[in-house]
Parts: sequence; structure tokens; C-alpha cells
Amino acid sequence: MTTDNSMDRRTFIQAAGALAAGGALAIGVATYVAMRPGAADKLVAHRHSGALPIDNPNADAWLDLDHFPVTMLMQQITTPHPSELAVPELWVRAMHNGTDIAFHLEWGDTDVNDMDKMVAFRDSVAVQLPVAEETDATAPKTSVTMGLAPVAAQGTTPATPGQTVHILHWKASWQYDVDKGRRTVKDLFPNMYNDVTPEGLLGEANSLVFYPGVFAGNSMSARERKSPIEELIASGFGSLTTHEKQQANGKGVNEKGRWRVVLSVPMDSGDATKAKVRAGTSIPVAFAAWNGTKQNRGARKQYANWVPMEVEA
Amino acid sequence: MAEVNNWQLGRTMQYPYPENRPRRQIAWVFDTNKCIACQTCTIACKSTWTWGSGQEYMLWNNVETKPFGFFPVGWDVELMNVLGPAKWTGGKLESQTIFEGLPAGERVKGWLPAEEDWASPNIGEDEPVGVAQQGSYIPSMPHNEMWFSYLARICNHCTYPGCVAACPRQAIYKRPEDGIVLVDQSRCRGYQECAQGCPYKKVMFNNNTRTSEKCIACFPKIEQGLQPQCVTSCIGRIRIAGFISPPGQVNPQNPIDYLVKVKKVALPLYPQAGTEPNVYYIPPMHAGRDYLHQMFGPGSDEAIKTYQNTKNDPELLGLMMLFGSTERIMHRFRVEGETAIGMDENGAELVRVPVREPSWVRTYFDEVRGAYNHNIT
Repeated sequence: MTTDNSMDRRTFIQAAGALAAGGALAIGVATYVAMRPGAADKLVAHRHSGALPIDNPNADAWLDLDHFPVTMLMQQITTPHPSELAVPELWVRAMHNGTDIAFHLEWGDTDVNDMDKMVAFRDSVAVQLPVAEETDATAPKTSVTMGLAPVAAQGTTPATPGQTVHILHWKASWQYDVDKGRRTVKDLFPNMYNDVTPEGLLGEANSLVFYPGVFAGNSMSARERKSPIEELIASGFGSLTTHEKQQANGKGVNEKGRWRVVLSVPMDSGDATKAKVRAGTSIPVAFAAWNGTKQNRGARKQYANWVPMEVEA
Repeated sequence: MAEVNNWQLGRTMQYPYPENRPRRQIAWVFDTNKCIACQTCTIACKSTWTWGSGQEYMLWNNVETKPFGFFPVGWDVELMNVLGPAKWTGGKLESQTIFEGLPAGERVKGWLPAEEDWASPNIGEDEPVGVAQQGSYIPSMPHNEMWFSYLARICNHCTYPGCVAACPRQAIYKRPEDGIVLVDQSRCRGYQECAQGCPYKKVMFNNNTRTSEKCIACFPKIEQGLQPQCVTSCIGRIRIAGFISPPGQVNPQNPIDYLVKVKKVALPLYPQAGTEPNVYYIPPMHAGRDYLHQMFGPGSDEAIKTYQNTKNDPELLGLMMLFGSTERIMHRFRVEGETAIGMDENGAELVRVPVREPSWVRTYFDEVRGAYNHNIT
């Protein structure tokens, strides 16, 4: 600790070094952000010929598109909710090839959270589509609040029943599972000790009952992970359910303090409980984002209202 | 929020769901005075249910030393921080529960212990309050100057569970047939809201399956009319599990009703949290009374007085002797002379034990063997 106001040589060098490093980082990030086209004034799913670049969120095919900035709101409609806005804006890009549609979501997050463990929460992002075909994308009948039925006076039935939404949910922890393999407890807690495990004593098949989430077929507990994206359906708060037919895929990367995530799904899955996207129409799309550092999870999230999206013919 | 009746608070309170009591409610009585913190219950539970990877740190049952032991560290200190000191007028709670006066956006007043708080399950073991001075001695009860006591803990299978209130997707439920509180392992998405909302910190996140888990009250045993592992393994015979009658109903032949409602010798742990816990404790008679008032509510002085008079109360004494005498759930009991008898649901006899164990006092010097005798219990 210095005892006078003058800066000694060592402190000066440290400060100058930090300034230089900070400046270089700032220039790097500014260049990284500024290299791309500007903001679009509407959200368009651009027609793309050939396979969609779903494995590379940094592909030129994505970054050459204007991004559509979506303002995020702190979820305060239901409890629990977060105490601060952790993801104020999402940049959205979209493209389709007539068979699949893919979303490219980008937001700032300098602290990567890609673990699911006690008292730790992952970064994640989601796209929501109404299952029912909406005739007017600017005024969807499906509630943005996960299809929740409108609030009715006490003792009466809502005039409009709750409708179903189709959700694509990317999780940073699932991305890690896919890229590097599922973390074991030993990876999460190197000093954790277990002298005998059920599988060690009983064999894999007989030990499943001691892994209740796995035994119950919970998607969170799945030991094999092929996609970082989960397809879900919901019709109101608390009703979120893993869809039995998983077809979504994509990829998320965090570089220079920004997440870029691609989420892709068939435009017509042939399943009536999923959204159907037709080329040449306009559909409503909604978004949600979670910041693990701020203990975001479940309803403790940021969300965006429906955004009309043109799907190019 | 619904207005529900919490008999332990002597008033109604706010809860997210309407009052919906199970057809019958499993309940326990633990006699803290008999616990020696041997952790046999802890190991019985651990080796039955939580020996999988991901459950390493979990102890659905633990025994901690009060006041300086906790699992997780500081859980009840945090609870006191959240609630403030409980204020009782007679048997009525004047202060707020974890469901009342909520901060914006919260379903329950809760907190998440830090990762490292789970790493010292036996912290504070046998550490007493106060310091022994040269020549100190403890002349009488309670030992207000210097004491410690043991507290065995499991999930309280509360009537108004904090975990159920906290879960935003109703993935935790209370079984209508016996009131056992369970996490639906197919619906849990690992939000840890339950771990945050439980005032007793008895819901834990599985680091392998990424879902939350908790004490299941050994429901496969209860379904067969058997008491849980932690009860039947207890070498000190401090525990009994059975079914408690709903508020307003008392069956004096039911062991749990008799202890909780007739004799009022067993009390809920931190009732001021408002969850109506279903594990009842006979308070440690030697411990600091102010501490016990906070921990077990306003009935603790009376409960201890009743407990200290057990030797003059054949019925209570007989029931205390039936603790740990059978693996089966005892629905009724009676005392006939010097014998206490436990019965099943149909009134069939399960077990009979002597109310007073025979005792012999040996002479100080054994002349046959030429040796000195010790008299030990």
C-alpha cells in the first residue's frame, strides 16, 4: 500500500500495462462488433440455398446478415422473477432453406456459465413459436406468456383457452455436453469422494434406480447428448414439457464476451403439436434469455414480446 | 395466495395453495434427550438412498450439535436472519412466516447456501456454549451457562412445504395417501428453487442427474406398514414414526397424537417458518431455555416439565419404552400395569415391553472373585 499520493514506478507500469491491455481489448471488441452490417428494421428469415450453417455461429453467411435488435424485458409477470435486467438486448438473425429454419441469437455475456451443478446456473436462450397458425403476426392470439390463458375473473372460465407454444431452448451446459462430453462429479468437484458407486457394485443396468432423474427419463439427466437444443411445448406458466420428438439442432459459442447461438428446427415436423413455418408468410416469434451469473433460471429470465418475422418465399 | 390454517401457529397464514390436507399424515417424534449423535441413522439413510455419484454431499438425514453445528453450515442462523426473532402471544405467532411479507418477485423467503456450506456436515460437533472455569460444576437443569445438545434432522414432510411453494412448475407434490413430500423426477428441471425455499435446507441438487432430490420418508417401507430406515436403525431408540390426526382431532391411543397433542411433550422445529413441519421433537431438557424458545416455540418449557415427570407417568413412560421396539408402524398403544403394548392398524398386537427395565445393584466388592464391581447402566 502506498503511503503518499505519488505513483511509484511499479504502480505506474502496472497501470499503463492494464490501460494498454484494456484499450486493446476494447478496440478488439469494437472491431469484432463493427465489422458486421448494421441493424435491420424488421426481422426476416432469409431464403438460403443449400444446407443452413447451423454448426458455425461465426459463419459469414450469418454475420453478413443485418441483425434485428430485440429489446428484452425483465420477466415480472409471474413469480419468481429476477431482481435486475441481465440481458437487455438480443440480436436476431434468421434464415431458412424451405426445409429447416434457423435462428442466430447474439448477446453480450463476458462470464460463461456452462455448468449445471449445485448453486450454479447456466447461460441459455430460447425461441418461442405459436403452435396454432396465426393469421396476423402483428397481433397473435396466442399469449406470449408461454401460451397462458388470459386471466379470467375469479370463478369464471377464460373466454380463450390457453394455447400451446413450441419452444427451442439452447443451454450452455448442454453445449458443453455435446462438445466435450458430460462433466462427471469428479470434473465438477475434484475433491469429491465416493468409495463405492451403485454401478460399481451392481453393474450399469441394475444401478439406474439410484439415478432417479435418469431412471425417470428426464431430459436434464440424459447421459447421451446429441443436440444442445431441447424442444419443448407449453401452455401456460409451469407447464413446460419436453417434446417427445426431438429434432432441433444448433451450436453456441462464446467469444470476446458475446454468445452467438444457432437454433435450427424443421419447418414442418409433421407433428401437430409443433409450430409449422411456411415460406412466404409472416409469423410471430418470441425470445427469452438467461444469465447464469445472475442466478437466472426458469422464470428468473429476460423475455421479449412477440416479434413479427417475415419468412421469405 | 390462499388463507390456510396452521395449528402450530394458532392462526391462519398465507400460502400459495389452498389448504388440502392429505388423507393421513406421516409424522415422527424424536427424543433429543436420548440422542448420542452416533450417526447410525445418517449412515442407514446414506447407504440406502444416497450412495450414487452426484449424491456424495447429500445427507437426507443428519445429526448436528446445537448451537454450533449445522448441515449446511449456518442454516438456522440464516433462517433467523430471514425471519427475525419469533414473536408469540400465548400460542399465537405474531411475526411473519416465510410465506408472508414477501420481497418482490419471490414465492418464498429463502436463500441458497453456498457450495462450501455443504462440505462440513459434522462441523461444531460437541462444541458447547460457554467456557468451563476452574472448579465449575453444573448443579441443576437447565445448564444455561454451558451446554450443547444433538438435533437429528430429516425432511419434515411439512403440511405447507416451502419447497412445494417455491417450485414454479409444481414438480414437487405432497402425496394424498400419507403426506410424504416428493420431487417428481420426470418434471424437475433443476432450478433449485426448492433448495432455496426450504427453510430446513432438506432439498438438495444432484450433481450427476441435475435434478433436485430429498428425503422420501422411505415410502416403500411406509407403504408396507414399516417405519423408515432412520427410525428402525436408531440404536438409542429415540425415534418413532406414525400417523398424526388432523388438527382438531385427537386419538389418545395413537402414539404420535398422545405425545404431540395430549401430553404436548413433542414440538415442531422452528414452527415460526410456517410450514407446519411433521417431525416433532422432545426438547433437550438441559439446554439453554431462550434458545429452545426460539427453536421449538412457546411450548418448550411445559414440554420439558412434562418430560421430566415421565417417571411418575406410567402411560407416558410406557410409550417412551415402546420407541424403537418394533419395525412396524404402531397405530395404537396401551399400558397394562408394568407392560406397554403396541398395536397395528387393526388392533393386533405388535410388541410388548416392560415399562421398567429390571435393574440390579451389585455389591461394591465381589468376595467370590475378589474383585471390585462398577455399576453402569
